[in-house]
Amino acid sequence: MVNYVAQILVMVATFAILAGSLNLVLGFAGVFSLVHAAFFGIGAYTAAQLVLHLGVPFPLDLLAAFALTAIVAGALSVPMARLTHEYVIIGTLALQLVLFNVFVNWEGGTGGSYGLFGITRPAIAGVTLTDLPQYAALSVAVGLVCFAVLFWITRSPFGLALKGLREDERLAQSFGKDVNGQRVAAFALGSGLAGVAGMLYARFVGYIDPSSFSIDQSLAAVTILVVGGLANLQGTVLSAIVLETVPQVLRFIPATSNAVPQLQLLFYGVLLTALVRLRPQGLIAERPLIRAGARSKPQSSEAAAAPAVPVPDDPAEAPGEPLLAIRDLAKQFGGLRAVDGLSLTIPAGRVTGIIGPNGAGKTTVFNMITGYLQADAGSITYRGQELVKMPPFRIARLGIARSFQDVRVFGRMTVLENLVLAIQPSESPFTGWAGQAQATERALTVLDEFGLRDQADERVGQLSYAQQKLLVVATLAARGDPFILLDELAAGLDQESVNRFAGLVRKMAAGGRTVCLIEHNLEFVWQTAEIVYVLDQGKLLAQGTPEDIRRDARVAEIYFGGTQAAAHA
Amino acid sequence: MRYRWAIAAAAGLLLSACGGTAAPSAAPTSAPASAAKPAASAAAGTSAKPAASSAAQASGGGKAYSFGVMVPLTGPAANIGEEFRRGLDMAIEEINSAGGVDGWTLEANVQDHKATAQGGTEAMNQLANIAKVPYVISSFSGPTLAAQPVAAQNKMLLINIGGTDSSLLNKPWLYSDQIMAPHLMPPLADYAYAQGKRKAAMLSSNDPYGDGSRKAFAPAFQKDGGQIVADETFPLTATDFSAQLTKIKAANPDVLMVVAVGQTQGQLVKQVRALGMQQLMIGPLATADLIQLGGDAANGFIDSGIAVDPNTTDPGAKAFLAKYKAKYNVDAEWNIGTPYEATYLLRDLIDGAVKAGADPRSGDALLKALQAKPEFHNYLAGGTVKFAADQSVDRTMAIRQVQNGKFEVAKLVQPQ
Amino acid sequence: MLALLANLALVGLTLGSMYALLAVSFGIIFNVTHVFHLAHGATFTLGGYAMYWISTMLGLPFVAALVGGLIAASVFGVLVEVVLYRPLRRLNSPPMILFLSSVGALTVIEGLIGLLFGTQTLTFKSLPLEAVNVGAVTLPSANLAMPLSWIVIAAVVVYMVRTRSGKFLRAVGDSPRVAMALGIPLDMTYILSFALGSALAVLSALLYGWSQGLTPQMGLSAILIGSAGVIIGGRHGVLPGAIVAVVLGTLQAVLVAFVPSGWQEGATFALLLVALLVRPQGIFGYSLPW
Repeated sequence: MVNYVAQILVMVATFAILAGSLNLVLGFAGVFSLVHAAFFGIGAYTAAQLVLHLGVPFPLDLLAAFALTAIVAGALSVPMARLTHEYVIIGTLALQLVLFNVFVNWEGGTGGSYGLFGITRPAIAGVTLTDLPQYAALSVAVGLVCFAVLFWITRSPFGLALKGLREDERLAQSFGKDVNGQRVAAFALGSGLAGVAGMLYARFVGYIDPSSFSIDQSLAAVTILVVGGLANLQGTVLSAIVLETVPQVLRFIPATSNAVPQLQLLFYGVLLTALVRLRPQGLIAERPLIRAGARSKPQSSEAAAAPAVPVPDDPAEAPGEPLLAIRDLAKQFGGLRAVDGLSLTIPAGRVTGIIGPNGAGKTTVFNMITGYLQADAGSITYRGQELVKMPPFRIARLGIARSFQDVRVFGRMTVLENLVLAIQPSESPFTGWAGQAQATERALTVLDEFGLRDQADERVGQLSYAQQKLLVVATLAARGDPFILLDELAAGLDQESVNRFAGLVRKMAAGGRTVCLIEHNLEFVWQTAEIVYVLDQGKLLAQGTPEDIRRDARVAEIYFGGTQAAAHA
Repeated sequence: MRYRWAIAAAAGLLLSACGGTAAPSAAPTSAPASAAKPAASAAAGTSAKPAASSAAQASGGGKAYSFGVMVPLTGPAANIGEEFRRGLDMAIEEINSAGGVDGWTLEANVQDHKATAQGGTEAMNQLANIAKVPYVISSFSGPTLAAQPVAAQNKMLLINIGGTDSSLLNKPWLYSDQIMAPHLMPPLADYAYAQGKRKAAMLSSNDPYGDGSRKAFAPAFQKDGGQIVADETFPLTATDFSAQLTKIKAANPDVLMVVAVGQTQGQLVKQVRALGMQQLMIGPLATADLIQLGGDAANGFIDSGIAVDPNTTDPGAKAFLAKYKAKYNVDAEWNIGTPYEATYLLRDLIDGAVKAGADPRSGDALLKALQAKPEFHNYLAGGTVKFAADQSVDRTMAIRQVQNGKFEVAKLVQPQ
Repeated sequence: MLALLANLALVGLTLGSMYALLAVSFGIIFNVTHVFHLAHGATFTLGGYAMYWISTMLGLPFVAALVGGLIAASVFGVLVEVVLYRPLRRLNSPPMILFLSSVGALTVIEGLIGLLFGTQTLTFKSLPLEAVNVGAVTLPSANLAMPLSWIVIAAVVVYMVRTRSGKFLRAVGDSPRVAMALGIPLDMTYILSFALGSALAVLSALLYGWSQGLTPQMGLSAILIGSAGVIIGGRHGVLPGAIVAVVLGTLQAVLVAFVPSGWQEGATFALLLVALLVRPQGIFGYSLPW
């Protein structure tokens, strides 16, 4: 009986590691990977070959399995990082099938369809673990170590960053996060741990062949993961226990015919479908990584007051001097010239407004400045540095922040998590902890200032539209970037909120920061901007102070039509 | 919150613990055979009560003697597994109703290896770690190859009644009641050559069985003077062979050598004929599935396997063949006979161990008994079968041809 | 060599046509509802076995079997939508949850079919697989029927472009919100897409079962190429998915001339992967008319 339990433990440990490592990739980083079984296999084959041919002892086989799998996965994920949404499913599926085919055909490396057999049990302190309870103890120990690593990574600033890139990649980039690099790192680490599970498996069963590393195994890992709850490691362990134990219990139906395996399959499918349908968040739901909880109102301290991105004491530009220069900028979509030979400069330390009717090209310009769109021609220089062809996250790191036209937040994360992620200076799971702690303190202060302290632990998706916008502004204020681009901040807001935001924008400029805003709400523009540019059909129509613009007949015409021009002068 | 998963873990262990007292007759959980069942490795265990745990006693005194059986119960070879069980059950029933052997009643713990090495490993681990049986009857090259190291490590006597791959030879604790590929394939090659065939194409399953068979066929055919014009493989799960067949057709062979099991055999011959290929088809170990699924396309197929002598005068063999025919209304083939023989072999070994004063539930004792008397009764053609030095058997082989939906013996080949 | 390639291409084209039809049926559901309906494989299997049951076990004429299969598949597809996807959508569940419920449904059907019919390969007794000569070429009878898939595909395209309900399907696929604002009944349109897509899968199951036989696991492997075709083809219409699927099927066969047949699947999907990476926005980056 002890043997029986021990065997279950080995399987639970192995598949908990497999599903847990997938949780890092899929649950936290949001990459729907179907290739996990192949990495399970690479780890297994690596360990097996080392043991069979070189007699490599434990734990070198484990480390080798981890390292080789992580390297291969990392290398493969670099070109694949550009895939999104359903293309990821098909891309990883294709990769899985290719790797499986390699397993089946490469006799030299994997033994082909024959497989590799005679893999011996490891020896620890002179004792070979041929007894089941002994190997179970080893498996559980390895499992604990793997989960310790997973907990460490997911609880670290890196874990928070992964959730952010899962929720909204573009938003994360706008905070300077290197999303591709982070994704590759998560993928490599997760796959490496799958390789560790493979090593455990290979040395347990003593024989491996490709059939354990097929697409079915990938789907099985996904099953354990989702049943347990995405982005929740305790749930994964629980799920692995349940899903490895239940079929064992099912087997005590006396087998009088070949029907039992089908019955098991049926029952399993029903169990899975019911679980997913009735409790889609999984056995244990995802929980926030940072909580405000019962913390008392923070005292304003030096650390709390300091902005995350310090404004340079001695900016290169004096107020009024050009900070951003756009020259002959052009962008075309099909036959439509969205931006057509545009040139303008944005002065430092002031608020600049860009207005114009719909389709004038305003947001297109913003997107080109911040790197989300590639200009067809022309140049954009910031403090003398060319921005065209730079990826969005690098532009953000230069000190350029933005808000988006459609209010973008990390919807399934809490208000506090959103803010901390935006402010934390480093994602490193090694050195980033202090920075995150400080960022949390600062975030709580800022939330307090903006009146969002009570919502700190609520999911942002549940906030009202106005509150979400407030959070966006709070984030930009907290970050302290020297150059801020605001896209239709006043849209959809009541007058009180509009006034409040206008005050905030003026305060930012007063503090030495440069603001450029796109607006349809002209009241808002008159209240805040010192310089206004008017765009029409991709070209610059007029520029000047708000008074100049209000009096400009051409502007009135494009906005209101000729007859009303006089009324609005 | 923390308690929830601790409770679930305890519940899980508790459940499995309850299960543990009843005989665990299932394979360990690992790789699934189909979508989304991480733990369901289908192993239908028949009721297997482990041998009573009293002090080692030579004589059974009415107790059950449990031994392991590994056959495919699911997958494309499932029908062959069914047939293996028929032979097995017949032997067990006969032995037990005759009073068992030295007071022991035989009881089979049947595991499903799904015709894959993976399945074989799981099944064997189950038999070794949980059921702890000293004797296992196994089938198919892949699963048996995978099971052998486990058998050697745990001192279990493993009898292969189906696999033909030569890597099964000369392995400790493994004996085969089967004609292996190096003996099974050359006469087939010679026969084809004698029929005037000079250009052979090979189409085999991508597993030890397929691999071993083609590696034994090609040199023999070439030595005769023939030519191999095509060598294609297919994965075990394949159902469509049109790409491989088209390539083979272009090579213009005059004979097509096919290595596949069960249903796959039948499907394959159908697709061959449906592509307009009229060549002679030959291959090892054809079974009833070939005719059942292949229909007209199966006619003319030539195979090689252990010979069955329907006109034997040997009383044991005669009785076996007659009984099977009466019960199932078809003639017994090699795959009914070998498990039957392996069960009777067990009876002999238990007897030998008891007479030597040893506990027959020990694998060591069984092995010693086998080495003392390495032979058993031939229930398919009469006489005695001896184990050869390489631990397989020398038996008469039959080359058969399918005519009008039935196997007819074309030639008998005696062992060297 | 040229003759071999031509032969292989022919084989690949016929098989690919079957996959193209399967891609179209998958595509209708995917493009309208955006669910990765893996359980479409279960619909495929269910339809095949329903036809088997009616024709071979009940002994009815094959036309009855076809009708029965179409009905069974449609009902199943709609059932999955109403019982699984719709409630999960109402809960704002992320796409991977819906995908997983699909996996569950597929497993349930696999187990059920295995339980009721056994795991051995079954064939349509009333549809024998014979060699048919067409000029200099010999093909299995099932393969000759496969190009008929394109007639069905053409009919689907016409339906999508010309009829009112077809336009509803496209509208909802493009933008559910706008469609709703225009008064198009969303729930009914989803049901229509599942009914239509599921029924179409049965035709592919017929061709597949005829040429390769029926097994409980046939769904998953068949759906791989079909769904790959749809994803790569892009979201604008079912025709691109069909074209990609037939190209994939043909490629898979033709590759056998250049690589050992063991590498067939790997080589095909490696090429697919390269195509995906080179043009991650899909092969047809711009809108094709349906």
